[in-house]
Amino acid sequence: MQWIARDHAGNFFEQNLDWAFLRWSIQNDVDIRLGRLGVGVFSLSDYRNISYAYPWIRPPHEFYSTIPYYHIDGADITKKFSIDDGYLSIKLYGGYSYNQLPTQSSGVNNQQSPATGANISYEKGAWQARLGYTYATITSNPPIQDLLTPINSPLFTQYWPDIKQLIPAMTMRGKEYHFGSIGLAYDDGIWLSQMEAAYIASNTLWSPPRSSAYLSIGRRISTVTLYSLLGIAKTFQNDVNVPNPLVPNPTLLAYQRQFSRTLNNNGINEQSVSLGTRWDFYNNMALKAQWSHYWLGAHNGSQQWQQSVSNTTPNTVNVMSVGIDFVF
Amino acid sequence: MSCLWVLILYFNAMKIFTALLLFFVTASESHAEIVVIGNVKNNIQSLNSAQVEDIFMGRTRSLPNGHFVLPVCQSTLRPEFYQKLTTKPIEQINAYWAMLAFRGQISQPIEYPDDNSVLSVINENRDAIGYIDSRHINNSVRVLLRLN
Repeated sequence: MQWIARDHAGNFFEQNLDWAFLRWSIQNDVDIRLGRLGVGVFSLSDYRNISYAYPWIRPPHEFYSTIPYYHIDGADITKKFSIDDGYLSIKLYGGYSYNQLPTQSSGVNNQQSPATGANISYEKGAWQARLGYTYATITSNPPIQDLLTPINSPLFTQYWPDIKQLIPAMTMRGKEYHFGSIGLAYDDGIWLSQMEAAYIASNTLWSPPRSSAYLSIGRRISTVTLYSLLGIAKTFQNDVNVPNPLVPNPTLLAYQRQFSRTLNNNGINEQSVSLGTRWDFYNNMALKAQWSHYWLGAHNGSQQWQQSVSNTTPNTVNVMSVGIDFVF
Repeated sequence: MSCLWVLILYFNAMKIFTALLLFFVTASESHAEIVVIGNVKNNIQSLNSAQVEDIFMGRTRSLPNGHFVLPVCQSTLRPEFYQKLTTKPIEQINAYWAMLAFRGQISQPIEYPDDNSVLSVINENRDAIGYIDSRHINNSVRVLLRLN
C-alpha cells in the first residue's frame, strides 16, 4: 500500500491513495496484481513520487505533468521471459480510473474512465528499453455548467443560435485517449542516460492531442551525480472559432471573448533545460539541487501551469530547487 | 644544472605522492574473499556471477533448478558484495532497490547482521542463498561462487 500526502484536487485521502493491491505470484515468472495500481504506461509510472529512485529533483515536467491520471482500480498480469542474457517482460492491465482533476474555472473534474493497456520492456546489461500503449474512454463530463447555462438560456437561443454548435466539442463523455510511449535507458554505473517520447491522441477539446519527450544525460563521480535534462511538450489543435452572435450586443460579445479564452486555453507549448546534481551524502539519503529554465511559447495555456485565466503566461520561468530524499 | 635538480626533486615528490596514494587506496579496501553459499541439500553445485547478479538484483525469483529462491544479505559485507558483483557502489544499489520496491514487483533480500546468522538461515532453508567471508565457511553449506 502506498499513500502520499500531497495537495491533490478532490478527496484528500482517497485521491492520494496511489496503491493498495494484492500480488499473487502464480509462477516464478508470472505475477497478478489486484486493487489500486499505478498506471504502468511510462517508465516512472509506479515511482514518480519516489525521487530517491531517480537522479532528478522531480520527474521531467513536460512529460510527466501531462499524464492525466496516476492510478487505476483494476488488475494487471506480468510475465517475464529470460532471453539471450536479458529479461523481457510483458504486462497487460485493465481497470477503471477515477481521478479528480483541478479545472480552469472552478471546482474539480471527477474524471472517470475505463482504461486498458500493455507494455513490453527488455533489460539487458546496462540497457533498458520499453514500449507502452494505453487506451481509455471517458465516461463523465467536465464541470462546464457555467458555460452551458448561458448557452442554453432563451437569450442565447434567440440571438446567438450558432453557439450551440460548440456543445459537442465541450463534452467529454464518450471521447477517447490513446497513449503511446517509447523509452530507452542506459546506466553503466558511471554514465547514465534516459529518454522517453510519448504521443497522446485524443479528441477532446479540454485535453488536446500532444507529444512530449525528454532526454537526460548524467555522469557519476563517486557519490556525486551531475546531470542535464532537456524536455519538450507541444499540443496539436487548431483554435476553436467561436461563432458570432446575430446582433453585436455588448453582453453577448463579452461572452464571446470569454468563451474563446476558455476554450483556447488548453494548449501546451513548453521546452526546458535543466542542470542538476545529486549527492548521496549518507546511507539512503541524497541531497539534490536543480536549476531549470522553461520557455513557454504561444498557445501555452493552463494545462501545466496553474494560473488564473485572466493572467497572461510569462515567456520564461526559472526554477531553482533544493531537496533531500531519503528512504527507510 | 638547477633545472636538473628541480626535475629530480619533482620526480621524487611524485614517487612519494604515488606511494602514499597507493597506500591509502589499498588500505581502504578490505581483502576479505566473499563466497556465495547455498544449502547442501540443494542440487545446485555452482552458480556463475551473472546468475548470482540476476538473483541479488531482483531480476529473477528462481534458482536455475526452478525453485523459488530466498536470497539473504549480510549487512556488513553488503557494499563490498555488490561492488564486486556489479561494480556499482552501494548508493546506486540502494536507489535501484527503492525503485523495484516502489514498483511493487519484488522485495529486497532480507539483511542479517553477521556471517553466523547467514549460515544458520542457509542451513534451515533448502532454497536460500547468501554470502559470507570465506574464512567462516563450514561443512554445513556449499560454496557456489567465489568473489575476489
